[in-house]
Amino acid sequence: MQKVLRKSFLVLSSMSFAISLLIVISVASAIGTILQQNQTFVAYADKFGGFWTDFFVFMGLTNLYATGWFLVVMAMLLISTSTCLTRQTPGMLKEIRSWRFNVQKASFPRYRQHVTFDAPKDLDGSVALSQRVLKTAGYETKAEQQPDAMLVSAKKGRWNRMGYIGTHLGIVVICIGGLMDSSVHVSMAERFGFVTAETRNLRLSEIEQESWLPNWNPSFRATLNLPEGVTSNAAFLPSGEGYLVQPLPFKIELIDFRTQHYPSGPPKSFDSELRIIDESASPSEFATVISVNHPLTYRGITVYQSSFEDGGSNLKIDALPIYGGEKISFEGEVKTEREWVEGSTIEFDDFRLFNINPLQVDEETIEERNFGPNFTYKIRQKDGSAREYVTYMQPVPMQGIPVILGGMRQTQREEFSYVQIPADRLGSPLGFMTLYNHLADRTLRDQVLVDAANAMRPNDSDEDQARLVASLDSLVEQVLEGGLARVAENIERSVPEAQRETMFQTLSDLAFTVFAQAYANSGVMDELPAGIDESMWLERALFAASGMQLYGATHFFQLTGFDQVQASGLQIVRAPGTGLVYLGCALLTLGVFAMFYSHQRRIWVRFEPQENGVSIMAAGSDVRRAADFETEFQTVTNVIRKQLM
Amino acid sequence: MSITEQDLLNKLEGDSKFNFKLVGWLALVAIAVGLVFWQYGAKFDVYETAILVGTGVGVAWIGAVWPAMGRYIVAVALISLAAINIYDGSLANGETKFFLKYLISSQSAVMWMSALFVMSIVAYGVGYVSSFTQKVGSALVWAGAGAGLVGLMVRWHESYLIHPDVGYIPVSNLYEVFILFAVITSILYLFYERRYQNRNLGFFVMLVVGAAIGFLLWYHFSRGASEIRPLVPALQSYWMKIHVPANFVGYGAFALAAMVGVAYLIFDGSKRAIAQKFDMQMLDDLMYRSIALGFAFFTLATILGALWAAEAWGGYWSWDPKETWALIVWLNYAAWLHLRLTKGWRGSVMAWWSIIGLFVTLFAFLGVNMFLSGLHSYGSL
Ligand code: HEM
Repeated sequence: MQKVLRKSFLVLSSMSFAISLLIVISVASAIGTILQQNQTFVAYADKFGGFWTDFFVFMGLTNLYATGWFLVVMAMLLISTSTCLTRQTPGMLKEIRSWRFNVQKASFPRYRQHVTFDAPKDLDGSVALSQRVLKTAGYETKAEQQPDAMLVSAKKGRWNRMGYIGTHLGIVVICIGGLMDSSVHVSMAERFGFVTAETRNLRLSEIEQESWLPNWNPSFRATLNLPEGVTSNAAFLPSGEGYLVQPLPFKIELIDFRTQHYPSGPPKSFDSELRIIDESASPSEFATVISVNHPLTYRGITVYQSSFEDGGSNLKIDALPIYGGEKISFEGEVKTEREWVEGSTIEFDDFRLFNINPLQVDEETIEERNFGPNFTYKIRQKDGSAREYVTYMQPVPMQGIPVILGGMRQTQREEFSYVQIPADRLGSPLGFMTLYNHLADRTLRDQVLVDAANAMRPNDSDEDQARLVASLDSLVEQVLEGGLARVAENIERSVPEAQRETMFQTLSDLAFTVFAQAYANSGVMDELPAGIDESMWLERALFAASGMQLYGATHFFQLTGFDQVQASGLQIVRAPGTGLVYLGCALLTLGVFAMFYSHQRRIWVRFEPQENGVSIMAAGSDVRRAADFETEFQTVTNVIRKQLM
Repeated sequence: MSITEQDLLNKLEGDSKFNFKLVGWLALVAIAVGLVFWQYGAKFDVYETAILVGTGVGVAWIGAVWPAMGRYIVAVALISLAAINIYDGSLANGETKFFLKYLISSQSAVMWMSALFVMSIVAYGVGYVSSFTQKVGSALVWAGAGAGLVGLMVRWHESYLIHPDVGYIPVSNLYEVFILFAVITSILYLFYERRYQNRNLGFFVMLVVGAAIGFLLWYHFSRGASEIRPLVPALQSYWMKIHVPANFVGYGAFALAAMVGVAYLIFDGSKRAIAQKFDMQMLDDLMYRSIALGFAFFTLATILGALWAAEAWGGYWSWDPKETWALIVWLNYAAWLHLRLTKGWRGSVMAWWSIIGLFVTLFAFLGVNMFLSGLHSYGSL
């Protein structure tokens, strides 16, 4: 048994084993960076297929750094380093203290660095002088009387060995500290059924007792999204597809969340003004501000600013009918939903006050600009399908025309595609809607087409006019379906190549004329913003009209007012090992520098009295055998010789 | 550098000779520190005062042990001050004043650095047949490193001219750290050049600096990377300001070691005349020293990074890809050092390994930002 222990001690502390561990850890961690960690099962299956997903999960590769075998390898490194340290340290400490006076006369010439010379000085004088030279060169020295000679032993570079100890002890200490702060105990508690993650979205008071971690949990890293004005005394630990609840020994209230911006737009700082309420202390509450890079530490728990989101802003919305009808006004709160027409529902997802986007200012410059507030919502039909919309509150100037941006996408994976509605005098899309309605509504459109035909060919016969109206009608149909692009497609299908270009020119001129007529009929002209080029506005309107069908909604939701409530994303951490980790880091850094920049070396000088002087032998050794030492040895012995001559 | 006979003899005499040069240098640094404090002291907090004093001590020390470096620092300081003076508080002067536009606005200085470094490669190359051009090569490297550091200093000032709120130390994006990399690698090389009294490696080391310059120019011209943009909140940290430079001493030293490895592999056992210029033992020794230096600074840098992460993200270690790759780089060189020290491995295996080490480092430095996502995405291309 003892033999086995001894054997395994030797293996564990051996260099080859240590190096194998370093390489295994490197390769494994590299895999962990290439395979994205902690995605959902579906995401992996999507990318790699069922077989590989099963394999990854089985091997623990999807949560590598918390997987059993990886932790075991890390523990091996810890054990290997500690055993190595226990094996080496006693010898090293002894080595530092020892003067090594046992060097025999016969062994001097066997050293790589050695010299022999005679000097016409007395023994005591030579010894004293040599010691002075060695001391001046930075050595500690000690002389010993030996049977037939005096031996001076000199050494320097003790910090090298201390450095070795510091480096390796540092690693051990860091690993222990890191382990103390890890979430291994929580995974264990979950595995053995002491706690169970909650996967539903519940109110704090509704969460079952089995998902709560104890108050005394020694270490955790939890998150808390706290809306303004709300107080909480619990935070959440993500676990698999669910979460666990960690009670806190004090309450946190978010008084205010603030974002500051640079003059050019990008965010400059995120600050949370917090109130900490602790009944057990006096005074029982205090206010404080935390920001990125400036956390709060209170009662062993540190609170960090880590993100922000909407905390339930109130939105005032006008739903403008795209295909005629009355406008509907209502209010909604972010993260809630409400009934909508024909059994569908509106889900209010997000509200953002600042939106910094690149904007084409003129031909060559693109600038980052604040587009102002926007809100995101979904319209979910009875059958469960949903479209997601994002709408900006204020018009944004696009090539001189202020437009209102409305984005739509059908799945999360797509980018939003936008309609750009030219704004009217009030900055609202209402003017455009009226115009659009004069084309989308059958009766109004007929009137527009007749008026347009009349204006174009006042002298044509009724029959010809009717024919013109019919072809204009089909043209409008195409434009509303897919814009001028659709018109071009149809031309490509039915017209010989040579005539296509002129044909397209004619048709787009016609479409434009019809739009101008609709514009006149709808009376929007009085509604245009001051100083706007009418034809540019109309061009925009035509462009926007061609996107409305794809937009796929009965109403365009315009944000008319809001009452913003923000939520701050806090990271709440209890990490009792941090002090140890920092201690280990200090040991490691000092140790590494000491190890590299202090070289352990020794010089021995032996003085044997002769009839008229002393016979001197010197030898030197350096663990590293650095080329430097050769020069140093020569310098020192040369100076000694010169001094003694 | 070990002590010389003359030094030792002087010390034995009891330092009777007054070292005018050294005392003069220390006085110069002390006066400079004093002047800065006199000008700005009222605005400093404790940390900033400590940083100023620390910088003074560091500069005094390095100039005392390496006088050429002292002269370099003085020259960079004077030129940067001149640039600040010509700017006279208005960024627009960068376009109109001759000296700024063509010489020492940060853009121009960086361009000069690039040109000088590329010229030094040529000079060192020709230097294998004429030792005079090797000396020219060294001078070009000094000048290039000077231009590069002036570029960074002036850029620092320019960021404040854009808007006082925007100002930051330029070690915060990929463009800036590439300049830093070129400057640090070339200074490390100059240090070893003096130490070994041997200019034959200049060609090899400046090649890797040249590659960095190539990237820098591409990044500047095709991506407009040189534009100064304000810092996102996570980057506004003291830790970062020392973390990044420490990291780049590491990267620079690893790059240097790799290029020494290349020279080793080319000339080891070669009978060609040029191979006589290279002493294999010296290359081996230099490779070790460089990796040791890099390892020490990389250790420091990784720890500083952890401290920063602790403050910014609420955890000193979160297995983020960038962190993880730093660990991989570190473990890789730890293995290298152990094999050399405890098993006595030498020669071409270690040379190959130091070259591979550079690729691992390069992936940690660039690859992670390009291919993997994570918290460090601010450095993305
Ligand atoms: C992550 C783990 C480790 C790191 C980062 C590390 C780091 C170092 C460094 C930097 C050196 C100095 C090299 C030099 O002086 O140039 C060193 C030396 C050494 N290490 Fe480690 N080490 C680690 C683990 C281990 C383990 C597990 C062992 C034992 C099996 C070990 C045994 C040694 C020994 C014997 C020396 C040589 C000391 C000497 O004679 O100068 N190390 N280590």
